This record gives sequence, C-alpha cells and structure tokens, in this order.
Amino acid sequence: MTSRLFEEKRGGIGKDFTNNLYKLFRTAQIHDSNNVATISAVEKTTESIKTLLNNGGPFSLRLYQEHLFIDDVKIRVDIENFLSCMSLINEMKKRFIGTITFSPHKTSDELSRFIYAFVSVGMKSAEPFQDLTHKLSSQGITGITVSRIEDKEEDAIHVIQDSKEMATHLYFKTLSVVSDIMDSAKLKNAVGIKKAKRLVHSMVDLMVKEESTLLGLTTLRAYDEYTYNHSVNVSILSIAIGQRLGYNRTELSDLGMATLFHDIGKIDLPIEVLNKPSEFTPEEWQIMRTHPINGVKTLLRLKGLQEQAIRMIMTSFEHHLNYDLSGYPKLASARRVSLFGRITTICDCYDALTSARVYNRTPFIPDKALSFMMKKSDTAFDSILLKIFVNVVGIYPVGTIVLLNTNELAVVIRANANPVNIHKPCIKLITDTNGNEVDGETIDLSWEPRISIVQSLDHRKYGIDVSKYFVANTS
Amino acid sequence: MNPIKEETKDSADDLEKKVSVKMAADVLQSLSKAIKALKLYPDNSPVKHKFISDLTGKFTKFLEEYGDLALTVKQFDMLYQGEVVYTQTVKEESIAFRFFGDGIREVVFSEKLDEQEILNFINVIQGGKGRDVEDDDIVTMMWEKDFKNIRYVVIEDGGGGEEEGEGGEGVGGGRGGGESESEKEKQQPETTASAAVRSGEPLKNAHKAETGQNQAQAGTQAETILKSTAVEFEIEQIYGKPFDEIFTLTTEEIEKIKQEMDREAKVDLVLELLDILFLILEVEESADSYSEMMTYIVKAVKTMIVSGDYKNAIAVLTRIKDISNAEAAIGVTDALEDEEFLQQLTQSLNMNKTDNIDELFTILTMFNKKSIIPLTNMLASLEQMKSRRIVCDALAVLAKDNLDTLLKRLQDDNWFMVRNIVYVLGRIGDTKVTNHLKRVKDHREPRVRKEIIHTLSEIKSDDAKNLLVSYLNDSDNTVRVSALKRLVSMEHRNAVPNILNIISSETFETKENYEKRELFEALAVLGYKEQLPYLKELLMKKSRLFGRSKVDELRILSAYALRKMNIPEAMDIMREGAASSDKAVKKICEDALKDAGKANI
Repeated sequence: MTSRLFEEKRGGIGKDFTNNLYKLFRTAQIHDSNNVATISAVEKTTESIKTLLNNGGPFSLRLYQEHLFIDDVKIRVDIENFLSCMSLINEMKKRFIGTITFSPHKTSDELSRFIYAFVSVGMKSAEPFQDLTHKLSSQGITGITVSRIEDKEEDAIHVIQDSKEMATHLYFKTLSVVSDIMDSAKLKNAVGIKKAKRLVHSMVDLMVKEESTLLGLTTLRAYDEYTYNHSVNVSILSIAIGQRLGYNRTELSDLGMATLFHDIGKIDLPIEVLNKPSEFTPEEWQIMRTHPINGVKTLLRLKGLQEQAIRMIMTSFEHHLNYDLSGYPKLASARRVSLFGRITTICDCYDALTSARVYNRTPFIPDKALSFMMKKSDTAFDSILLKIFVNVVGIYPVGTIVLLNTNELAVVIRANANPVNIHKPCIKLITDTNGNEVDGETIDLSWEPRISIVQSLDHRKYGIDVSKYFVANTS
Repeated sequence: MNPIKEETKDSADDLEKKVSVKMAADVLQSLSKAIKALKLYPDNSPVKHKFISDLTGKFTKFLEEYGDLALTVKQFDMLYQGEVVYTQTVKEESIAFRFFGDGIREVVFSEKLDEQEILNFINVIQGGKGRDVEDDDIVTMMWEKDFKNIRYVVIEDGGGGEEEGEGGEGVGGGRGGGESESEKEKQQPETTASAAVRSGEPLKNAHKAETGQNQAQAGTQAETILKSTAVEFEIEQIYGKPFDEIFTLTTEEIEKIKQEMDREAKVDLVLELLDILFLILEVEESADSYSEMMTYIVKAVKTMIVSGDYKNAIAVLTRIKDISNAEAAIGVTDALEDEEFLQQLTQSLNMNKTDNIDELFTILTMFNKKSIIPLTNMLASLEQMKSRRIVCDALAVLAKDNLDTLLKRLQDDNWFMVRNIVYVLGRIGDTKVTNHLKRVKDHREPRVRKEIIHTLSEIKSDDAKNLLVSYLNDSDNTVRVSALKRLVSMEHRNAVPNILNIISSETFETKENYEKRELFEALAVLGYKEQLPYLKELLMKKSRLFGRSKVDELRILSAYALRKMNIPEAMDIMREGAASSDKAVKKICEDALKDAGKANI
C-alpha cells in the first residue's frame, strides 16, 4: 500500500476510533468497569486501536487547533463523528491534554483503567493534567500516556486573533465582490466569478480552521446593502452546515458559491420594491416572488450549462420553494428539493428573520427566530437539516446578547457543539454587574455550572452593535 | 576563528548552492518538457509516461537532498535561492507568466511530492480540462486539487497592482483582475448604532432595563428573573423534551441524510436543470421568457445528443412533445437541424463507439421534415457504416411523404451519396420511386447500381421487377449476378426468356464460371419443369471434334441445374445420361447423381 493510501485509510479508521473512544468515555461516566456496556465499549475501542497501530509501533491521538489527528493524519469529520470529535476535543482541552499515545503493549485492562482515570479528573479538578498523570502513574498504566497542550493560551489567542482579522477582511472583500458581480450582471455585462470563487475558497478554509469567527460576522448588518450582506451571511451559514454534513472542500466551495448568488434574481427587481419600508402589497409580493426564476434566467445567461452554474441555478430556483413545496414559485408538478436548496432555505430564512432589512421591519432576536423556524420543521424546512443548523448556531446563536444570572451582560461568541449543552454556549462578558461596559473574559458556560443564561436581549432595542465583538480592529 | 577554515566553509557552501541551483533548474526544465509532452501524447503513451517518470525522479532527488524546493515567481522567471532557474518570455508557454498573472508569487514543493500530485499540478498549469477561464484561474484550481505537498503564496486579486511594479502589460489584463482594494472594501459599513456603542450607553441602558436597576423598586425585576433557575425556552416548550433529545441526531436521521447525500452525489445535473426549466415553462406566461427557456432546453438536448446520452435526450424530447405549447415544441425540433449541431453530432459519431446508436434512430425520427436536407448532408461525412445506416433509416421515416427532397440528391456528384439515397428510397418502398430510379439506372458506379437492385427488390412492383431484369445485361458481372439472385429470390418467372437468351448468346462463353452457374441455377428455379426438355437437350448434346469443351461445359451446367431442381423427372434425365455410351455424359451424370445422393443423405 502506498503511503498516501495508508494515510487515507488511517484517517477513515480514525473516525471509528474517535466514535468508539467517545462512546467508551460516555459509558464510563455512567457505568462501572464491570458493566456489560463498559466491557463491550472497551472491546470495540481495543479493536480500533489494533487497526491503527502502525506496523506494530505506537500511535497518537493529537489535538491541534480544534482538529484531531492520528499521528499526522487529520481525522475527517462528518455528520457521523462530528459530535464525538467535538466532545473529545472538549474533554481533552478540559484536562489540558494535547496528545494521548497508545502503545502496542497496552492491554484492555489498561484501557479500562485509563478511561476511568480520565473521567475522574473532570471539571472539579483544579490541576486536571497533573491529577491525571499522577493517577496513571500510581495505577501503573504505561501503555497509554498523555502529554500536555503546548503553549495553549498563546497559541489559541493567536489563532483566534489571526482568524478574526482574516475573517473580517474576507467578509468585507466578499461583500464588495458580490456587489460588483451583481452590478455587472444587472448591466448584462460579462461576469467572471473567479474572484468570488477565491473568496469562497478562503471562507471554506477559515470555516474548517475556526468556525465561530466567520459565523460571528453574520451579525454584521448594513441596511443599504441588505442583499449583498444577506448573500454573504447565507453563504457563511450554509458552509457551516455543509461542513457539519461532512462535505469535502470542493462541495463546500460549490455550496458557498451557490448560496452567495442565491438572490441574484433580485437584480431585476425595482429598487423601490426591494427597499420598501412597509408591508408589500399583493402586487409587490407578486414581483418579489419572481426573483427565484429571474435568478435562473440570469445565471443561464451568464454561466450557461456548466456543472457549478447548474448548482447555482438549482439553488436560486429552490430557495423559496420550501421543503414541502409550499413556498414559491408554485409548481405544476412535484419536485424533490436538493440538499443545497434545503440548506439555503434554512439559512436564508434565519438571516432574513434576524435582519432589519429596513428600519420599519422588526427583526427577530436569534433564539426567537430559531423557535419560529422550529415550528415549521418538516413543512418549510427539512427537519434533519434544521436540527443540524441549530447544532451549528446553537440555541443562542453567535452574536446573541444575553443576560446572565450574575446580572452581567454577555455576547455569545461560540455555540456549543454538544446538543446536551446546546443552551450553554461560550460567551464573552460585555458589562459588569452594574452595567458598565467591560472587555470581559470569555467563558464556556458548559464548564461553569454556576453561571447560566437568564434571557436573550434584543440588541437593536438598545442600539447595541453586536458585530463589533467579531470585527477585528484593523486600524 | 580560523580565516582559512571560514573561507573553505564559504566556498563549500557556495559550491553546494551552485549544485542545488543547477539541480533546481534541471527540475524546471523537466517540468517544462513534461508539460509539452502531456499536450502532445495521449494518456496511455509510454513517451508521456517516461517524461512524467523522469520529472518525478528529479523532484524526488532534489527534495531528498535539499529539502523544500521554494521558487520565487517573477513575471517570466522563477528563482531558487535568488538565482534564476527558469526563464520563458513567450507568454503562451511560460509557466512563470501563468503563475504571476494569477497572483502567485511563491511555489514550494515539499518532500512527499508524488507522481499523482505532479500530474495534477501539470493539469492545473495547462488550465484544467473543460474549465472556463472566466470562472477559474490557477489559484482556484490549485485550491480544488488540495495539494498536500505543494504550497503557494498568492497576492490578493492576482496579478497587477503589485508594489514591485512588475504587473505591467498583460499581467493584470485578462486574468486575475489586478485591482487593488477598492474604497468600498476599505469602508466597513457603519452599522445601526456604531456611534452610540462607542459611548457605552446602549449597554448601560440595556442592562438597566433588563435587570430593572432603573426602576424605583430596584432589584425586583432582576431578582424575579435571577430566581428563576429553570429557564423557559420556547423550543423546549414546543417539544416538551430536553434539548439533547430535540437536537441530537438519531441513527435513523444520520442514515437518512447520508442516503440523501449519496443520492445527490450521483444525480445528473443536466437532468435536474431541465426539470427546473420545464417547471418554469409550465408557469411562464411571457412569450419571450418561454422562448428563452426553450433555447436552453434545446441547448441541453443538443449537449446530451452530442455526448451520446441518447436515452435522456429521448426523455426530454418526449417531454417537449407532451407540453401544451405545440408551436414551441416544433420550434425546438426546428432548432435541432442547424448545421453546427449536426456537424458536432457527426464528429461525435465518427469518434465514438456506437454501442447504443439504435436510440439515436428514435431521436432523429423526432426531428421534423426540415431536417431532411441537413441529415442528408450529414451522410457525406459519417465514417462508420452503422451511423450512416441509422441516419438513412431515420430519413426513410422523415422523408416518406417528402420524396422530392431526396430525389434531387440522386443527381449528386458523390456516388456514395446517391447510393445512400437509393437505400433510403428502398426503405421507403414506395412504388413511385421506380420511375425516379430509372434516371440513375445506369449510374457509373457499380455499387450504386447494386443498391438500386436491392431497392427494386424491396419495392417488388412489376415495374421494379422489369427494371431489375434489365440489369441482367449490365456491363459489370457482379451487378448482373446480384440482379439474377434478386430475381430468383423474388421468383420472377418472367425473367426466364431473358436468361435463356443470355445462355444461348455468343457472349455466354466469355462469362465467368460462377455467373454461368448462377444463370443455370436461375433457369432451374424460375423455369422449373418447363425447362426440362431444354436442359436434357443440352445434357445429351453430341460433342463434335471442335467445340467439345464448350459442349462439355453446357452439359455440366445442365446437370448442375437438374440437380438443383431435385425432382424425380430431373433425376430420371440424369440416370438416363449415366447410362449413356458417351463417356463424358456418363461421367457428368454419375457425378451429379452422386452429389444428389449425398445431398439427399
């Protein structure tokens, strides 16, 4: 077997391994070591360890920048192992573990003892890493060793700061390119999309590296450029869902491009209708409802019948159809809405609900928008994809201003990947208990049982610009 | 520090650098050659394989000895360690120019680079197969290839506008734009309340309002909120379940979405697009839009036909015929007759295997009458007989009530065109055709005359049979025999006098043996018992001193004919001959009887 094939195989087996290891961890949290469920979980994990041992040598499960690796091979994350990977990352981080190394001499008994030692040094321990190494040593566990995360804090801060700057730049650049392309399309000029493609590629790279930074930027609102703003936001949200589904980078790029131009059909609509501050009349609704088909025509004129163009056309046509075809355009015969179309419907609706398109329309605050959307699960929205979407953005999506039980205000900066803790996101304190603005600390609420969210606040009601917590200060 | 040692070390370093630079230049020269070879040779060519294998070897050697190969990209040059290792000023051929134009300023190859990655890299440099230059450049293609061992540094917007001022003529032009950050990009939108936020007042207000600290009964509202440890979430209210139950995907859900993803990966995108276009047609009210959608449908159908996807093309054409707007449907089939499309179809048929070509017949018969001429023209360029046959068969259907268009082509200068038209006429089988065939009856090309014979035999009218008889006197023996065989198979007994005339003519002797045999066999089959006396006479004819061989030949042919008849009366004649005192007659009849006996066994 060539080294490349071997590595790919290891990446695949790594997926089984993380699933089994996480199951073992969960089982050990509930049952003792003699329980049938634990014994079975130990056996399965031992089997996956055997297949990973490199020519009889040891191998390591490594945590690096929010990704897990088997030695140097990154474990591919998809819908089947997302939860186990994210949870393992969290559990390793809590214990400041950067690497777990499995030796071929390790026994099943050692694996069992290791997992109970690992579980026992949870969040209550002040020095979890030292406690764990001490336990491993005192129990004579030598077949499984751990090492500490290197330069954890500094590394993490740099990664986040770099990502933030990159994301901010990328966001505004994409906004500009989308507006240029749409303007050219409006003037029926030849339109090249490679600039947009390069930016979507960068978005995909950034999303894979650090999801929440880009998601945070979707809180940016510029009312006079709603369509462009909205297009970029929908693209970002869609890529995040696609990533959770396990799309590869080319598929993510296709999805990002399709969603970036899902509203291209609006270029033909009268500006006074698009920007109308009050409710639409039936005639205006009729005009608005032409934009998915207008989009098809525009894209056909611009891009013809190439593969990526077809995906863009499908997305434009389907994004208001709804999962049960109850939306528009009204179809004379049934059609299965594509996954891209369904994903776009969800992201489009969420961003539209949470955006103040014009001053007179009151937007929903993010969690209310999700509640509203959940009521339409399986009708307007594909229930599975909607679940995944909520898993991506959280109950309190990134950018939500929340009041804590400590009387402090905070902004949600990262969703919690684990559905059990979906209501316990990572937050950043923005006021003290007296309401004074502070550049407060970042807290993962799943690690702090004493702090909880009391309610979400409508930031617009108080004129709070949420985006400032996500836009890097590049001046 | 020992100055001599330092100097020696310096010169050793210089030497190593020189060697590595030379090796890097060698790698790039091989890369350049391999790119050219890949353009010239087909995929399975051993020459091409050798170029790639050499290049891989050179890369591997360099990377093993010196580590990463990091190349700085200039407009027409590439540099390694500050030394030029590649120069090509011809833009079309320059790798450096392509990179530079798309904004790449550094390319780094690292140690585990393998042959597949090298091939993919070359594919990118060549512009990717089937890529649109408006939608892709080297950077987008490099990204999609997801190289593990090739890294690159790219400037924003690609090409042009760089501080070094090297992005001059042509660089920023067609590729990559060359535009610097516009003012618009630099101005991050001033959002709703940026100014207010800077003061910190909004947060204070929000805090006061939500915690109740601005009210007289300070703390009351906040306390109420804070005391509620069990927070009511709307989503939980909807489902009445804990979050993990609501949002954790079940095994069934994971399986379902995976199946959907698998299914979508296999979906035919063109069919998906067509489905959308048809759905739009169903709701479209404007005539212009309707016609625009039809144009795209036609385009897609053409693509399907040219690529050999006949099955789906049939489905689409059937759907077009089923839609209410029949006029538009006619428009679509009209559009299929354009010369350019048929040329593409011809090329495709000439280049590809024609396994599922029978489906093409169905497609072609869905064309309208106007396509008769271009389809007929197409016959002149089709190289494979199977393809020609399909088009001819389709023309037979399309031109059934439109013979005039075809008949005009009977005067074509190309004999093969005339032959094809004659074939089509035969497939139509209309009796009126015979008169028109008479005009080309004596066509200079025997293959055309043979096709006419075939066509006449298909028509089967008396007129056609009579015309067929006239070919018994054709100048070409293969044509004559062909006509004879058709007459036999058609059991055209009226041809017997003509056959007898030929046998008794002076020219009979000059004919090839096989033709003579065919004539006697025809006489036996068509003339039957009525010809027994004649055949007996020939068999028993006394030979003379001169002309014995001619008589003997007629005896043998008569015996052959009698044996072919295989009836008692014919056998009796041969038995009589076997008892003859004429040794030659005796021998011929004995042999014939022996053959007949074998045949009977």
